[in-house]
Amino acid sequence: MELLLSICRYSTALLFLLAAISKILKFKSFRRNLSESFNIPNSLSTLCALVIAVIELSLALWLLTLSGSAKFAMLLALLLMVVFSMVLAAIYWLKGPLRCNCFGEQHRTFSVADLARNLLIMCGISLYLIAPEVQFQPVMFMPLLAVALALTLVLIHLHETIELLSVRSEYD
Amino acid sequence: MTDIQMLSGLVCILALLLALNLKLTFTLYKKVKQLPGFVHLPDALAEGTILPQLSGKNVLNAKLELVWRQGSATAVLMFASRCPKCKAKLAEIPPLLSLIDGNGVEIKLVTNESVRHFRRFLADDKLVEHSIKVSQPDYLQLNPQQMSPAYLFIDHQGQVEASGLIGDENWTLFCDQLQMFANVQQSVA
Repeated sequence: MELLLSICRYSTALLFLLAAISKILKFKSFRRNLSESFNIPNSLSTLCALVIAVIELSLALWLLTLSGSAKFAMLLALLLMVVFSMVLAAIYWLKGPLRCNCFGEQHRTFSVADLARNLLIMCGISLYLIAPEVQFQPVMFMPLLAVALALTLVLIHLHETIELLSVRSEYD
Repeated sequence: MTDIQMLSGLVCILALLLALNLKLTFTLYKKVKQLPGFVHLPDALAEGTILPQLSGKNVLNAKLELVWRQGSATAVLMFASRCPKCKAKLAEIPPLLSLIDGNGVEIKLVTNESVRHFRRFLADDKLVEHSIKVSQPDYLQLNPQQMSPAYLFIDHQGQVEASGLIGDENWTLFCDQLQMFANVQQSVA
């Protein structure tokens, strides 16, 4: 159980870290998407994009470097995920399909796989929050981080994973 | 080095290799997707193709309506709320609707999007009145390449006369003909 909870914590941290890095690397595109898809005025979109990237980066680094209980940081991560998902749902309801640019994907709209990814992340965080506090040996830190990284990559690319699996089945 | 340290080191290396493999796979997939020909576009509707009788729900009153009817030529127009060009081209349609009265031509806007989104996108009652929501398979029969803003001219027997993007040569000719016909009608009256 402690392994699973630690993987939840590090996967959440890496998800936010990779999301922040992709937003910073593709800052112009992210800023433009905030204006186009989320109706944020041009004058505010730079500030808004910067705030989102900084919050994600700070939360990721906090979760990675915090020793001991990370429940409060995980609670903030859950709140952030809920807010992001609610904004996406509201815009989808009002305007229809939209681009999220959550992890730097510029050319496709928010898909069911992306929604499933967000739900999986929220489930992982909730599991961490409701479970009792766990302690693990420091020697396990690096292996857990590496496993969490592999899991994070699959979660980020869940849309592509499903696409790849369905492409393969067409040729079977 | 204890056994536990060795084992955790091994797990760490394996997981990192897996992560690297995943990253390379997704990067390669992204590159392959960008190659020309990866997405095989279906062929456009050829001239002379006989269309089956298709129906859908009128966007205004949800009544079942035929996309084309025997005896009258139909211009089927396909707009998508996501396409940036469509909004500009949409403005050209209401004047055309006022030109078709009594000349045996019908203009239908066909969509596969949700009625609510499409109505909001059209933002014009006259356009909404001429819009039909069809199922995805029916939409693909009319617009196999899912282009927009696109048109499809169907003659009075359900035969495809032309298809293309709104604004091309055939489209301009169609608009000119409608205008000419309306002018003749006006001068006769």
